[in-house]
Amino acid sequence: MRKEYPGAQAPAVDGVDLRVRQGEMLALLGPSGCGKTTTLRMVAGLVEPTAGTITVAGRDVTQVPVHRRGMGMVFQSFALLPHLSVAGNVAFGLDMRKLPAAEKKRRVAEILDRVQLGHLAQRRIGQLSGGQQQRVALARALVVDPSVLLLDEPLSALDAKLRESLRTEIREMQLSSGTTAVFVTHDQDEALSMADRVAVMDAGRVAQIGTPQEIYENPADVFVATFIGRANLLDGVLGTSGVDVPGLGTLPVTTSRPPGPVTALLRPQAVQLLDSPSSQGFAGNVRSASYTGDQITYRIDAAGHTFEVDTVATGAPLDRGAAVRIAWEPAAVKVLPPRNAT
Amino acid sequence: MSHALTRRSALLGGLGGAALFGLAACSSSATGSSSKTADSGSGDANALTITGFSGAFADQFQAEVIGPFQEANSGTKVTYTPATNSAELLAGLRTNTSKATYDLVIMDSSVSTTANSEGLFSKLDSSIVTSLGDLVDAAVIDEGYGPAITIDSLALIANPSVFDTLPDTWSALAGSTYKGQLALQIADTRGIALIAGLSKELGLDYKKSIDEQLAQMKKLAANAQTFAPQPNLYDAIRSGSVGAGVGWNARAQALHDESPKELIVQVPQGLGVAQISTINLVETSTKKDLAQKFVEFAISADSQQRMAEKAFYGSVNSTVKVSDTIDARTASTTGLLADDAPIDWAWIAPNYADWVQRIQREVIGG
Amino acid sequence: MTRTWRPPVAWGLLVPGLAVLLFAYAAPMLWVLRMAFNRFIGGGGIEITFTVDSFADVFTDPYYLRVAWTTVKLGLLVSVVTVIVAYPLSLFLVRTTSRFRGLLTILAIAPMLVSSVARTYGWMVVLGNQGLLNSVLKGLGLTDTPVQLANQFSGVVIALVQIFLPYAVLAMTSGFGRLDDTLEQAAASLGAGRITRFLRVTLPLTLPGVLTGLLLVFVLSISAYVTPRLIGGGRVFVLASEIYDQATNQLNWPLAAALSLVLVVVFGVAVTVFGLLQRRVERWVSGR
Repeated sequence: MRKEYPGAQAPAVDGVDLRVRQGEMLALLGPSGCGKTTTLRMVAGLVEPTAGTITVAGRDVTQVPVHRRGMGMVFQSFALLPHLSVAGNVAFGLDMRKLPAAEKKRRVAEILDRVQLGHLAQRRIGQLSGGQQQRVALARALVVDPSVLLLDEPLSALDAKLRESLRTEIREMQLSSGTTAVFVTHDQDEALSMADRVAVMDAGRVAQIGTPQEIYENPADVFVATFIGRANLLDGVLGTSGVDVPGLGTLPVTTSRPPGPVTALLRPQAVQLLDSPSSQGFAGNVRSASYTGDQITYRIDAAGHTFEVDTVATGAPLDRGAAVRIAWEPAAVKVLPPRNAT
Repeated sequence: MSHALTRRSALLGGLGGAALFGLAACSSSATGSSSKTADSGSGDANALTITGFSGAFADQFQAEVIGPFQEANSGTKVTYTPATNSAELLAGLRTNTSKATYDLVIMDSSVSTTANSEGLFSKLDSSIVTSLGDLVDAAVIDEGYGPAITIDSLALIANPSVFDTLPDTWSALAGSTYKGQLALQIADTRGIALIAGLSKELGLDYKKSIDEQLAQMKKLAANAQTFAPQPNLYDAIRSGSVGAGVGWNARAQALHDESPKELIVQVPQGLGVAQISTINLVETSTKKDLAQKFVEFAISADSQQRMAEKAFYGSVNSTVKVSDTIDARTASTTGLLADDAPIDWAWIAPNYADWVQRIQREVIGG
Repeated sequence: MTRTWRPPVAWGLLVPGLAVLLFAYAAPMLWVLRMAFNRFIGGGGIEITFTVDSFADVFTDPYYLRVAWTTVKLGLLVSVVTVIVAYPLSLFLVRTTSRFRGLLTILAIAPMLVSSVARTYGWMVVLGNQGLLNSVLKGLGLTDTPVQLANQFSGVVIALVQIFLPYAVLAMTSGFGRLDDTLEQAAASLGAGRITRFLRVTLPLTLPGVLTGLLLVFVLSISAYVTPRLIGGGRVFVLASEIYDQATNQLNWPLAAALSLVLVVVFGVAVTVFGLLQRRVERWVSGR
């Protein structure tokens, strides 16, 4: 799929090819301007693709206008109709489908109960809190049994606490209704915790698609590795016995990549801090420490590199300048394409 | 939300305020305009201030009377301020009784008789205004007060490319050939004059009743394209946007000479209606001698002859001699109005407003 | 809508404005009110007294009731037609993402630069019997006798609609603030087609702007003087022209004052009714 905006220098979406499985929740994750929202709006029918097709259950819907696509959409701003009540908003889609009044009433009551808003059915929209509005928007999109549920940054207008509880709520609603869902977010935690699969997007392309675990543990490139979680990146050259990194010698790795310049990835959790009198690993000094209660993250200078190291907090953090040794399992080192190539 | 509310209530408040303000300004305009030239010339003993009709009359009066007067009396300065209408002038006189804004006022005789009766104008001194003795009968409205300065007549006017001849009666305008072609500006003095003209034609007495005259006028009105020709009657006829109408002889005669192919004029034989304008001395004027000297000049044979020859006004001075051609085209007692019984404007004056109102309601609005 | 305390200096700033209002608005209005109770004596005389004669005239004379009705009818007709014509234009101006939007808005309100007198004369040229419109109709063979549009009520309506169109556009574009693209997109995603979206989303949300436009044009129309006078052919009697006639031609100032007060009352009723309506609608579309 491709979308070019007239006057823009580069296409907003450039060759995105995604397959969403029945009943799964797919997250489109990426920094702002990566094309994730445009992709979602093309699926919804709000933006016309310059090229490419959109297929739902084998049917090509590319030319089907938005109001006939039968999808449900939750907007970032919720887009609730202010002149209608909570029930009025939820019933809107059912009105369009010309459902009998009794059936309509039953389904509205049912879905409002499921989002725990049954008692607020007659409220005006302006009288609801942000979280309640969010749930109305979700109920409104789901009540019509959409073929696909589309969520555009559904939680970004809410505060942090509310966001976390609603994450679970949305996910449970989606699972229980079995609706296929696509949601757009720039928040990696949100993507990793809610989605069955995550598509990481960068500059109009899908950089990697996979389960949260795959994405985290085996990122396809440096962009994905740094966008999802933190990373120690070591530039080196891949040879027959491992990656040759200046200052660290040759690190043994498992990879199918051809020899040549590469970037090695080492997650902070994979690095271990050893007791001083040891000959293993590399010697280094603590540069700084940040204490977060259950965990201490050190920045350690060793062999001409600065490593980020996560440790479980046991007592006071080490002093700045303290001599330490660091080491890791060889399997923890992942080989990525060299970073200037991406 | 609070912004929207504030903006809206401000808008409403502003609207209401503006509307009321406009109204108030409108209703006080009658007094406002009369005071705008309040101190013009009053300081100079040789300066005279006159007000009267605007438009063509103002130009002709400047050229044929005021100019020559200033030449004949070097050092005097006469300022002429045109006014909207005679009624407005009367209102101005009433509100400015303590200090004279004008020394002389030229207005419809129907209005000046009211002003005379209210003591707003002074009687003239016949030792200064010696020509008072030479006036034609029609020129004397209220004995001793300001005399007529021009005599005009109601006339039929047409665009010759639409109607190449004009009828001999007022009623003929009710004929079907005039359907949708007439400009009848009759909610004013023209309508009053038309009542008088129809009275003559139908042998009725307007002092008894005007019911039949109005009924007849209504038949004319059925042919009207407009009751308020724009930009004015004469230009509407000349441009052909209306074919014919009822207007004033003097102006139409002058325009006919200017463009004979665009406008013709005729006063129905024996059915002319004299329209008389008077020149009046304001009671509170401080320059009554100079002002009366001007009146004498204005009604003198020389001035009257010029006004007849150049502007086609019937002469108020019986000693004036003009060519037969000119005489036949002016509303003089020897010319167009020769056979006509005079109209009693002094009697009509108190009924003026009522008649205009009846025309508006029964003829135009009916 | 929280109340904020204002320092006394803020009230001081109101003094010049209040003074102007008192002098230019309250004082003349009181004078008009007083004048309405004086007695008119034929020939332009006014007796300073206290009588309700003029009001009795106004309310018992079918002529004045007809004039008042013509005025209200004109106001209603012109405001409704103007708002209908201005609505699509305003909607377009609010929604367009064109970079010429500013220019287009200026173009839409540019007619305000030409005085309404000039525009009225323009319409007389267009609507007259020998006018542009009739020439075209004749040229196309659609009619032999000219269609009478100028010099009567319909001409006044046509001219006023055009003259007040920019005002309506201004009022409506600023009143369409609640319009939000995503609301219509949401409705579309729920299955609403173009017409349903307009009826169930766009129209309700633009109603406050529509009401503002209606009120503004109604108030302007019932106080219009020049246009009914010039293009009405002397046949269209409205309160404004009647007030002028009574004041300057008949010199019946008490009656003119009484008619002015009637017009003020019509204004007041219109503003109150629209105000109440607008408050309800505003509450409704704000979701409160």
